[in-house]
Amino acid sequence: MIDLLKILLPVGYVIVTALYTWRFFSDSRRFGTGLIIALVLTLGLHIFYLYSRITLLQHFPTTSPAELLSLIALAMGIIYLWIEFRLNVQTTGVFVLSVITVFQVLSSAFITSGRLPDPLLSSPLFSLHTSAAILGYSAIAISALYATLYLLLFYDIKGSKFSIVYSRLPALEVLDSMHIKAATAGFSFLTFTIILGIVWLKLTFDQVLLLDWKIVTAFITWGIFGVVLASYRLFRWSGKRLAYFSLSGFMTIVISLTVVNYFLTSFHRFP
Amino acid sequence: MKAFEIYVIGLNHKSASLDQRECVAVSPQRLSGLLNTIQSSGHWSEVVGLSTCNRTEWYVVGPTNPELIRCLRTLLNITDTVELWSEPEITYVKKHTDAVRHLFRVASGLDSQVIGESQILSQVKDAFTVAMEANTTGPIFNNLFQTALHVGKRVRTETEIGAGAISISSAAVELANKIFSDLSKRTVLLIGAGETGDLTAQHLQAKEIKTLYITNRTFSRAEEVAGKLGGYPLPFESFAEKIAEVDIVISATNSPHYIVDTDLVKPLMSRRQNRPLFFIDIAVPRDIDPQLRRIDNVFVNYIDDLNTIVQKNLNLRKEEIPAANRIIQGEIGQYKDWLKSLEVKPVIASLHKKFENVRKTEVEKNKKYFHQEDWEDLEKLTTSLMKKFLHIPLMQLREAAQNGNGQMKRIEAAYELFNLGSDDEE
Repeated sequence: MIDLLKILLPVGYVIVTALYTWRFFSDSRRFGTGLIIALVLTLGLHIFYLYSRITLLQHFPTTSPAELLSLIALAMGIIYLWIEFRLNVQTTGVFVLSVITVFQVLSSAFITSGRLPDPLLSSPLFSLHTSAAILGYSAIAISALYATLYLLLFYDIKGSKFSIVYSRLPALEVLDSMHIKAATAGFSFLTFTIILGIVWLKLTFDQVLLLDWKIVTAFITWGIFGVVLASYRLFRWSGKRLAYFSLSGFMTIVISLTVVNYFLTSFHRFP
Repeated sequence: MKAFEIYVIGLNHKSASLDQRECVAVSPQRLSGLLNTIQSSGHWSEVVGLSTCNRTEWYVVGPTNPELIRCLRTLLNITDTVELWSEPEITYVKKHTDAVRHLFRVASGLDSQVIGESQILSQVKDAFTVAMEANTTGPIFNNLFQTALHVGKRVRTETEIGAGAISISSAAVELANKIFSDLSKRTVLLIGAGETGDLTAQHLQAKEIKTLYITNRTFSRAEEVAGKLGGYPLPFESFAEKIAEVDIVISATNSPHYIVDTDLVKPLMSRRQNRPLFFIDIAVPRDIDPQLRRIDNVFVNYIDDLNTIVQKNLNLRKEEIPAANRIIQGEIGQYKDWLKSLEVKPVIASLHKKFENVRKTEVEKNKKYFHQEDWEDLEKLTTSLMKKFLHIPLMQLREAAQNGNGQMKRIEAAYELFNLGSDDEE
């Protein structure tokens, strides 16, 4: 059953992404409700898949990058759905869903059938820490996407190109606002993640290993987004500069997830 | 059996010059009287007249007889005191499906000078309302025009035929809306109160912008435009300072050199706390230095950019024509089905009447052979028998009306077999 879901889920996301791609290029509102239904059904399938894994593994599946990618994909999908309802804009869906699809395809390709439950993972504090981290990283990924869309439209207008980006995307002001909102949410969750992580470390190992590579990269990400938000509030940086900073923050996370997980040893790997 | 035809006779911006269109244009006050004149000629059961700056068209329902169109041409020549309606190069006549298609295309804006313009839909609605009030519409046009209005709305909702700005001033507003989501919170400065600038400011005012400042070398002109648009006049010497406050600057002066450059704007950006500043320069030669584009959060667009937007939007509208035609074709099919069902209805009614007459006559003739208390049962029995006999022929007629397969043949056969025409005469 779980193996079937593992295949069905990326297929579902591919279909939803194809529908949102059609929506972007056709700009027809005819099947708007149909798109939302397709997305909700796929997210429902994802939640069922997650529930099946929890039932199988007897713990929250956050022990490998593949599992994390799937959780980030789900969190991003839910955050995007919320944004779509709030903004009533469907034309940005193709960009968010493309990333979600890539994450889920990678997750389904590399996920293993399961590991033995680790006693460390049963702590409620750990569950809170990982949940906050997933929400934080997902919000940051969304913020990076909106930053990218902002830059695309910004250069389209500045360069007087007036391409499909111009005709389909919402106003720069809206994209900037969503970028900052998502970045604020990401920064808040990341702050919460770091605090909970430190407390959990202290309680579990009676020491704080701040030199762990993943913690270091988390601090760097947190710092970049701190600068982004402080610059926005205090120095009124323009949307373009903020967008570039957000993207660099997102790249740090990508490096954290790939380089640190595959090339460096860290306690964040659970044997 | 009476066969009817839907006709449209008209002329439009493609077939006739402005002078010619002027000659046959009908004012709303005159329209009602003309509708009654045409209907009272005795040939046409239903009449609707559509007269706009781009077209004058008469939609009529009447018997299938080409001669009658010649009569209509003559009548229109007399009422308009012209000879234009007799000229086939200037006027066009379409009948039945072509006439229906033409009306659907008109209502959808496909036949308009600017493809997809929305004004025509309300003009079709007005034309239909006037005809209804003048009692010159019947079941055919009531359905046809309501369907046309529905088609017009469908085409605009389901395609992009009416999307995007198609004038310089509306393109400027569209562009402003791509930078600022809510124009009602924005302050605008209009430099140069000429015609184009005035028009752009009007379009922005329609979006209920927060404040509009107007400056002009001749202050009295700035005051005049400010009074008209509900803005605030500003002395030309002080407009530079105002740039620090406003969000959008529309420039349309006759100045031979730049009036806004980087030296002026750069220091203002820190005072503006780096908020986006959008310049729309519709002047030739240009008023705004292109170097301003290098400043972060400053957007500068010129008349050529606005022209590009307009052209792209027009091309997008043209690309939507096949999709609009598909909708129209589908709706024509449905309307034709309805028309066919209309043709079958009188045959069914005649058949019922004929059989009922036979039944009543026979019952009256023979009821003396029955007891009086059985007469009610006799009525029931004969009625039931009549319905059973008629069931298959009526079903075949209804089926033919729905599918259109040999419909006319079946109608004609029914008339001949049951001698229905003679019944009418009786």
